[in-house]
Amino acid sequence: MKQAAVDRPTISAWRGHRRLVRATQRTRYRGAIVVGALAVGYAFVGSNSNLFLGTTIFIAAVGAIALNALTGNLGIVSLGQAAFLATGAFTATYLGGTLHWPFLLVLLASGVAAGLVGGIVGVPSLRWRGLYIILGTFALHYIVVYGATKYEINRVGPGGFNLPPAKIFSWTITSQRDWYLFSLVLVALTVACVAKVLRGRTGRAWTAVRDRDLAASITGIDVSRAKVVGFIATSFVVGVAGATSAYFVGNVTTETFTLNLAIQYVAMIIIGGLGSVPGAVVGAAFVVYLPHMITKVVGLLPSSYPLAGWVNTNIFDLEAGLYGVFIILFLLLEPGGLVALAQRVRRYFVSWPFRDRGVIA
Amino acid sequence: MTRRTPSFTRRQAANLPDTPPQALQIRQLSVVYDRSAQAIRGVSLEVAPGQMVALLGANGAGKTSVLRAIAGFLAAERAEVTEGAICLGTRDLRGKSPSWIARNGVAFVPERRKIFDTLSVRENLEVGLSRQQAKRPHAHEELVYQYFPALEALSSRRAGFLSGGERQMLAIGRALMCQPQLLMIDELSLGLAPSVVTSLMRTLRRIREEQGASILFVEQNAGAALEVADHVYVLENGRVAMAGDPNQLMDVSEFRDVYLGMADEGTRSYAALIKSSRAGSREVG
Amino acid sequence: MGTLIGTVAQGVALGAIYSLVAVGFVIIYKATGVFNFAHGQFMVLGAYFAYVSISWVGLPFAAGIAVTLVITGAVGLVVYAALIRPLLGEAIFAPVMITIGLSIVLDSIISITTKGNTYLLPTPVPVHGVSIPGTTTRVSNYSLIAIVVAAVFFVLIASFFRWSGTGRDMRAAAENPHLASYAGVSLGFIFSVAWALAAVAAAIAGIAQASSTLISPDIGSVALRAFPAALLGGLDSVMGAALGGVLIGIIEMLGSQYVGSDTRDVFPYVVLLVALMVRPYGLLGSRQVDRI
Repeated sequence: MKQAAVDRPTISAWRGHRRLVRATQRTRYRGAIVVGALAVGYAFVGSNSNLFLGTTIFIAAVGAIALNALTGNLGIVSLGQAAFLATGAFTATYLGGTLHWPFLLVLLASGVAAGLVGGIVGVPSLRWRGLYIILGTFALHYIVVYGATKYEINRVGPGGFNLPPAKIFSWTITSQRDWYLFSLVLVALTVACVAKVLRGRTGRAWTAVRDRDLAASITGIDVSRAKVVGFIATSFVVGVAGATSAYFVGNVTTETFTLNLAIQYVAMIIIGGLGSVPGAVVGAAFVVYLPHMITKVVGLLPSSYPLAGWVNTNIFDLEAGLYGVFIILFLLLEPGGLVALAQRVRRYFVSWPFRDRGVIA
Repeated sequence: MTRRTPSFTRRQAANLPDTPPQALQIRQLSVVYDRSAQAIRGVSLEVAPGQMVALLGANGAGKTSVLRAIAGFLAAERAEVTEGAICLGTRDLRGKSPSWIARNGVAFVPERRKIFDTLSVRENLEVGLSRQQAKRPHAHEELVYQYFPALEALSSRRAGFLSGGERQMLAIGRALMCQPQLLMIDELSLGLAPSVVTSLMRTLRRIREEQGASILFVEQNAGAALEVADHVYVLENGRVAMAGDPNQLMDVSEFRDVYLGMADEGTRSYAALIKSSRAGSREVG
Repeated sequence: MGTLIGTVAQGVALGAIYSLVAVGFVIIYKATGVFNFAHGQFMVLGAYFAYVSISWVGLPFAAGIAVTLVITGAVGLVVYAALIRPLLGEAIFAPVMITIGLSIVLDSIISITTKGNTYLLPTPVPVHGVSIPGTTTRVSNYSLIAIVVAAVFFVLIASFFRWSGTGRDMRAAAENPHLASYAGVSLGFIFSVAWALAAVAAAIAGIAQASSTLISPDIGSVALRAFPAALLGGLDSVMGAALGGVLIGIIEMLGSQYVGSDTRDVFPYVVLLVALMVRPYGLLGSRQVDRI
């Protein structure tokens, strides 16, 4: 029997609610600090290949957090992730590689460049409904990649651009540990900033825009401005991620920036959980780690096992297909992503054995 | 030239199952939107076979929600019946899809967007005819043209170009094509000139008498509703506040003041006007 | 001048394929409001099924095509029932995302089963083709056939929507799903028919494309260029799909001839972006009305 709607809450119920919220926030901060400390500690313990993996995850997470804010909170579905990453990366090659600007400045400027592209696409996007925005970013992807390819071929050839090492004042980021720590700081900064913005008035406005354009505008939210600003801001962050990745890998070619890359980022936010900042990080970790996990699992199979051979030959296609399978599975079964799944598991255990008792989540 | 009024007998001749008219019964109905907004709570009402029942109330009282609950919610809407029973005779309507309900005796004319603008008048009438019925759609179209002769001349016109009154006729006509036992109409009079409303109400009475269909209609124009209804329910804040015979209801001062909305003296004479109008039309039949 | 005519003719032939693909998008969008990103994969499936039924099973050409259309239509039905129906009522983004996921899955399945081999579709008509008088361009028989097939298909589809009961119900449901339900139209049936029809259209397009080239997973990439065609014509207009397809085909060929062959891939997307900025509902589409 479903419960009927809640009657008007009393003042004491409201106070209790505030207490609960504050308590949840304390737990949240505590949790974040613990995780952060663990992550920092790992920098001194992990192997180089694992640290490399960690850095990749952190940089990807920055992009995923931005996309998650755009799609999960503002409600704009974008396939332009690869285009913005490419903009950031190629701007970095020009500013850092050709003009030799300092590293941090290049990161910022690349973000600005990506934000500009976002603004150009964003302004006309005011009029577009959800589906048209998807198509628009889809077209944007091909156009940007085309432009980048022409630029690359004219300047450097198919080998792509190489970048100088990244230097912050006197510290050159060279070792895996250096990169790991830098990207950890970067992602922590992103998490903190984005989470704060989303918790405040902007975040609520974005949610209103996402849920009901017209209703939001009636309540006084400038829908057009919110959408454009959101698009520009998230593109900026993605551009920074692209530039960071360019320095990290050391080499930039247009081949990296495929539509599949954009789809991978969408997979990250769906698998992690739409609208959840930690979800974006978890999703990024999942998607980045997936190929490694598959290789490990396959490696466990005895080589005589008939399936093992087949899996090995088709490993790339299987990996690619698995992203699609996970997107489908999560959309059908757990649209809230891993984050929601975790909460559901926790709720189950918290209320066991009193399964019927509702838990104040 | 006299034309025999199409009625149940021709329906039987068309080899359709002979279903006697049934009563609509609603008991303790509650409807919630989006799992949070309670639209109606504990509403009970009944429409006897061949009765014309009016559902009155202010904006937001929940009248449309009652009709939509009976007509069924689409799976895609976030609305649900959380408690209560809806029965057409012995058939339980609760939880069924709108298209099932439409095919099983209940036709609904919504308040807004009640016709298909991009289709022609004839196509509007033919929407949803199952292949069985489609063998002889013309039989039913003639029925509609009987009641709304103006539509026949317009049959190939695009429905988007019709006037307000013509749209309402088309909407009711489309509902008639379902051969309903219960015809539900939401805000018939909205945006229509009083003479058009009167004419439509009288046609509804004819439909009721000749087809034996029950009619449940929602009206904000209480006066127009009272002239034709056999029974009235008044909703306030999602619950049934008053119910009864229209004549009796008009003697209740709260009802007069709130729903007929005039100062005492004016209301009394207006009420008298309605009463005599009802008596007069009863005689003429 | 001769080159111009030749280029335009090639554009029309290319556009015939695009319009066949685009009409699939339009049918699904018009009926269910969803954009099917996996459409290209339906095309490839159609081509491969045709190859299997004609070359392996040994059916005569016409029978093989018929069987392929039935099978692909069934695939469309299954996709609707398993992936789209559960998500109806969620935001538009959910079913669209699931078609993106589906396209990835289908891509990998196709890649694994075919191991990248290409096949030749055995066709009853020789490949030579016809020269266009006054030019040096040859238009292959298959392009001509593609144009004819597309034209016939469009006539059939337009007639279906205009004259048949189900077609009328689909138009009604596309305009106002609630009212259609109240009138007794089963939306689930309408959606299933739409998805099956669109899959069939995709299969025809895939077979047409494969007839003039080879059967390979690349066939599906044509669908990516058909997105702009569908949008240019108007996402909810069947005739718009025909118009948009032909226009995009011509624009692409003109661009390739006169601007540079590497721009060929990007022109359709520029058109798409421009169309979105200037006239998002396309040339023949209907303006959307917002309701709170």
